Amino acid sequence: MLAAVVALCGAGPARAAALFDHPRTPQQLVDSVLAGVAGKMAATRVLTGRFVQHRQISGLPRPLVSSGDFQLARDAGITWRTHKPFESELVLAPDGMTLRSGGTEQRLSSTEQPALQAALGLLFAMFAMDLDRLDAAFELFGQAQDGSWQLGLRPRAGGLAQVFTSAVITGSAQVDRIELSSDGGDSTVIEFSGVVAQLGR
Amino acid sequence: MRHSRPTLARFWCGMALLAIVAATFAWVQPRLRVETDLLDLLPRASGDAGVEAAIDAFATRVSRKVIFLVGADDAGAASAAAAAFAGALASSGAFVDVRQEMGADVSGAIALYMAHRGTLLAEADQARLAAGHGQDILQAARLAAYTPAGLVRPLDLRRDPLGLGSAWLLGQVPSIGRARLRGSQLTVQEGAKTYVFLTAETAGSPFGAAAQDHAALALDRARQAAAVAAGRPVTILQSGALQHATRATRISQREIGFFGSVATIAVLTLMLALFRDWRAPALGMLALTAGAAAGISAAQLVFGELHLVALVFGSSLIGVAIDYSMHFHADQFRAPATWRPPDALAQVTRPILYGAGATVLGFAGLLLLPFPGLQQMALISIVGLAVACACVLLLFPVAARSAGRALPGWCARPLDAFAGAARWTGRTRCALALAALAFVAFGLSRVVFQDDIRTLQMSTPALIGEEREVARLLGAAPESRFFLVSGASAEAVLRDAEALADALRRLQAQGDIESFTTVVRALPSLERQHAAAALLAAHVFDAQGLMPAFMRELGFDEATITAQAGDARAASAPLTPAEWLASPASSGLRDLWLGERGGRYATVVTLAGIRDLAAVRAIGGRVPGIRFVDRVAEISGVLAHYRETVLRLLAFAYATIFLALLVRYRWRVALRLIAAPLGATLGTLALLGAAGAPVNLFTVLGLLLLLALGVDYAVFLREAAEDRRTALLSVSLSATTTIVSCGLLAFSSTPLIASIGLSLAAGILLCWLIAIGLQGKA
Repeated sequence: MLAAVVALCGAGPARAAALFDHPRTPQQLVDSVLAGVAGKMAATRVLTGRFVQHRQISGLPRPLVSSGDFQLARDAGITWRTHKPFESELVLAPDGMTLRSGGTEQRLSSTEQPALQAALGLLFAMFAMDLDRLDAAFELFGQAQDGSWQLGLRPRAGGLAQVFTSAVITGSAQVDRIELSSDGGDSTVIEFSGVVAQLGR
Repeated sequence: MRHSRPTLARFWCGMALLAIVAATFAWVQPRLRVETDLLDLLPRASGDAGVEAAIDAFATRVSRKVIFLVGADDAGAASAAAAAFAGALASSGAFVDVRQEMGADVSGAIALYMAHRGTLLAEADQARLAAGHGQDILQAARLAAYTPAGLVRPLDLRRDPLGLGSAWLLGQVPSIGRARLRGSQLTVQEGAKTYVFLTAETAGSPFGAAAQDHAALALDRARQAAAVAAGRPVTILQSGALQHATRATRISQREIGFFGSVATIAVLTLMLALFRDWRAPALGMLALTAGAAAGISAAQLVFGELHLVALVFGSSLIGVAIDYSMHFHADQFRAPATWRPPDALAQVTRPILYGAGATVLGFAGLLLLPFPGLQQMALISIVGLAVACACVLLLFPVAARSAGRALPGWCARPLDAFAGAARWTGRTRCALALAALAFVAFGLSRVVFQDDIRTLQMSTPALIGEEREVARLLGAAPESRFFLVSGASAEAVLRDAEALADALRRLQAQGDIESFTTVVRALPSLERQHAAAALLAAHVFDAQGLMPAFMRELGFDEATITAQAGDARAASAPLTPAEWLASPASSGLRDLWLGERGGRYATVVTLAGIRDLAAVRAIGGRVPGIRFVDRVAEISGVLAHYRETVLRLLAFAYATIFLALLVRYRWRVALRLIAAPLGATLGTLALLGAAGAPVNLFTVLGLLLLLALGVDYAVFLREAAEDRRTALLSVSLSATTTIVSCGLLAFSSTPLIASIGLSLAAGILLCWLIAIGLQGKA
């Protein structure tokens, strides 16, 4: 596990550097890089699957690793069930987020907090691959290779909604992996597996 | 024709006066500043001078604020258009403080928070710690560390393990109705269209004509820049006082110009037809222009600016100047064969001087009132009338056509018939008087006073529609009403503002208001900061506190943990107003902090979308040091107060003029002379009452003018009684010209000008009828 993470981190920068040489507009991404999958992504109503999240924090010797399953409903939000290292449930919806764990529930409403709302919106846009929303906040980059593709995000302007300095989304038929890097050397890698898309409408 | 030495001497004095007036006006004219803000007419509310000044300053800023929604059917294009629009506005110099990015200065906010993280706490977290629910914070932090919940936190885990800083920072961006942060821009989504929210302030008063022109030019350029940047059609919606004020200025200037020319042409045509000589209308114009130029110059020199209303009022009154010309020229019909211009002096000097004297006396009183608008009107009128009067008496004897002409038949016949018929018997008079009294009593009982300033401000349906559209899109109508919190110290003010925020939050929860904005969101009182610091020190940063425990759980080493906790504890110096104001983090809320004025501190809490005004108003009484400021209501109150004042003044002016008349006339005559304007005034009020037309301050000002003009008619009829026909002619001509010019003003789309015009036109008509009906025997 650890070795895999180290290998990933090692491989990341070189590929990322090349990726960030290819700025794209949302339309270009749909037409070229994501040509094979864009249609299906747009038609996806519900996406379910498993995840493993590695969070590397500066000052921490080991990454924080969690795993579980998730459900993304385009109209409702993301339900993120963590099984390890502890059972918890997180619901990210446009109007706020709900945390459930250890028998308690906390709700953070975003209706009075535009900054939280924006951050939630971007997170949702990233998972749902909503290119138009992402385009508002990020410069977009993209490249495709051997049936897989990579999408790069770099924030356009400051703002409280900006919590990372760059993001790389890798996928083939679905999103396989999201890697976020931030200023202090922290990074978060989320890998998806067993993803099933329900098409709707 | 040869003139006597004194006549010539007077003529040259008159010419010298003209030269002085012309030179002064040439100097003043380029410096002329016309104000259209109704508030400028009114005296400043008295009371707590320091705080009032602060409110004024804040209200001024509010009136300067303009909200724009820049929309396009593509979000990216709307964003680019908004940026270009903002850039063009900012570089134009016509607008300042142009903002299209919200919460953009994150580093400033983070730096300020980190420096005071031992004493700043988000409301919800403070409540949790105070209630002993620290475990909830820990639980949320755990989820943030292991799930994407952490990705919405602007501070990283190492600097802010528990997320207390992130919660604080996320709470700093104020919410504006339906607007959502998109990147760093606030946007509103409406169907396929995205609108970007931006605000700016006009560099000058939005009510000044120069600032309006400057702003209009800048807006045109900015619209073009936005369209170019978007590369597609861009919708720009605007809300604020600027657009209404600009439209009001343009329309009223156009109307005054148009009505003025129509009235002038009508009067000049009449004079030409009657006197059959170009010199009569030319001299009439000369006297009129000289009077207007002198009055305007004097007011501009004394007050530094001129209000539109004063200008209209003054110009109408100077219309009397044309009456003097009429009186002078009509004198030739008395003895057309032998008449020479200097002869007229013997006949008209006294009535003109008496009439002018009475008017000037009436207006001199206005100068003493602390009412800038009235002072301007009075000064324009007094100086203008004096100069016009001097022009007629000094210049006309030499400059007018040297021989008289007979009254044209088309005018003489109806006049003779009328003069004969107008002699009423005592019984008729009695019956008429009773009928009139009954009507006056009926009408007066139905008079409705209307002082709401909103009914006096003019706008167009298109602009009001745009304003509503902005409010609808934002989901929150910007309110002109706000709370003022004041106290003896900054700390007292902040504490009261916190109490107010608690009360407002309850109203918000009930749906009585949409939202509110206050500085305590970013600058808590020392009391609250001390409480937060105590909670943080005891439960969070302590060696056994939540933060070290959580960091240990995550796997940080002891040295890091100890250092972190120590640094956080050390950052417990409270955030002071001065430091907050100096930080870039306060840029969005700084305007609300009014600071110290005359030993009092004050801050403003703004509101959006008031749905239950009574509930909001009620808070003002409950929390000490808090006042609900409703400028519209206050100003309407001031208008009502001055309407009453002017009504009383009117009574006083009648009394004064009556006394002045008693010096020369027996009391019965004086009573008859004053009866014309007095009856007309009551009659006009009764007419308005019977017709259901509301009476406002400006109607009453019209009645004040009526007094000045009406006394003039009555005195003239009395003094020139030797030749009844000529006197009747001149008074009728004067009345006709005034009714024409004021009647036109009554059609103005500027409500206050229409009010003056309507009351004056109706009043003069009545006054003319009464003056003729009551005149003494020949």
